[in-house]
Amino acid sequence: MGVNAKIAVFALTAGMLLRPCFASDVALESTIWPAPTPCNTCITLQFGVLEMKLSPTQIERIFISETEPFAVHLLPKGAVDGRTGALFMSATRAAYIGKYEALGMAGANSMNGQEFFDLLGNPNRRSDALTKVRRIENFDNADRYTKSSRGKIHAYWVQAAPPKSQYIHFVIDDNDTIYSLVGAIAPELYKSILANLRVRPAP
Amino acid sequence: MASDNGSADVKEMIQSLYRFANILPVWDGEVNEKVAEVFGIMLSETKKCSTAFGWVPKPPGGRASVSWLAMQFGNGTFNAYRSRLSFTCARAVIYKWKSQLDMASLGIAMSGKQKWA
Repeated sequence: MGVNAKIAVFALTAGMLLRPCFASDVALESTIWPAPTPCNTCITLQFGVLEMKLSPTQIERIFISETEPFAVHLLPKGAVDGRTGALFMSATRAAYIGKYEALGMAGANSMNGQEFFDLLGNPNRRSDALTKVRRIENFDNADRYTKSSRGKIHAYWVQAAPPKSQYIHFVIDDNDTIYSLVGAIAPELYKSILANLRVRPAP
Repeated sequence: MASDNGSADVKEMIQSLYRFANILPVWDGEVNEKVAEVFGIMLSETKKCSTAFGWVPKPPGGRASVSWLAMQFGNGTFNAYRSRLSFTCARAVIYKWKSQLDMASLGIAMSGKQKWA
């Protein structure tokens, strides 16, 4: 084996061994909000006050159960069953963030969405409580944690390598609801949803 | 702290539900009575997606325990029940309750007053 090959093998092995250690240390990165794109074939979905355009090239079916209406399932094109979709859910700020007060996260009850999700990605504010919250918020499996903002909407994406679950949380200024898109989320779907996302009052 | 008698069964039930719903990574927390209580609520919510659940009585006091879950759903009963759920329902229920399950595993009691429906 040549020197370059040995270096490559060492780097690959070291990367595999070290990756789990670094994975839980992901910090918040700012990313650019995808530019709006026209989509004549898209359908409009409004979940709460979030209005978005979904392309039939990505989403084949939208499913809402009559018995569990708290979730909107986005089933991807070609899916053979409901095991590979993503789903929209929502929670009040008090329910989503406030519960972490019990884990010792001081001020969780009064924290707004941006403060909370910014704090999760701040490497200078680590504490035992925050480490536990990050674990519950799936940071132990994350490869990246990004934030994009446009106007009043802020999107936080806890990215993990597929097939691990992905989590995108949408926070809106002056709004007490936290919207989450969870499950199988390809980068193309993320861009597509954000590109034409806007806040709109319930019809 | 839950006794070992039944904890392994309950953990296998939770992991089985995660695998069924294709939610990765599969839950790997520590089972205790608080976990059993949250998982009981999850099962209660999945009743809405199944016709196979009518025979299961409510747990004493409206809260599931490790021993009650093991007794009611042990010996393969849970897998038979699980197979009659819809994937979407299982996924929604897990994602809805996942953080409460994780907190329970850390010894934090469930917030709110949800009980077996």
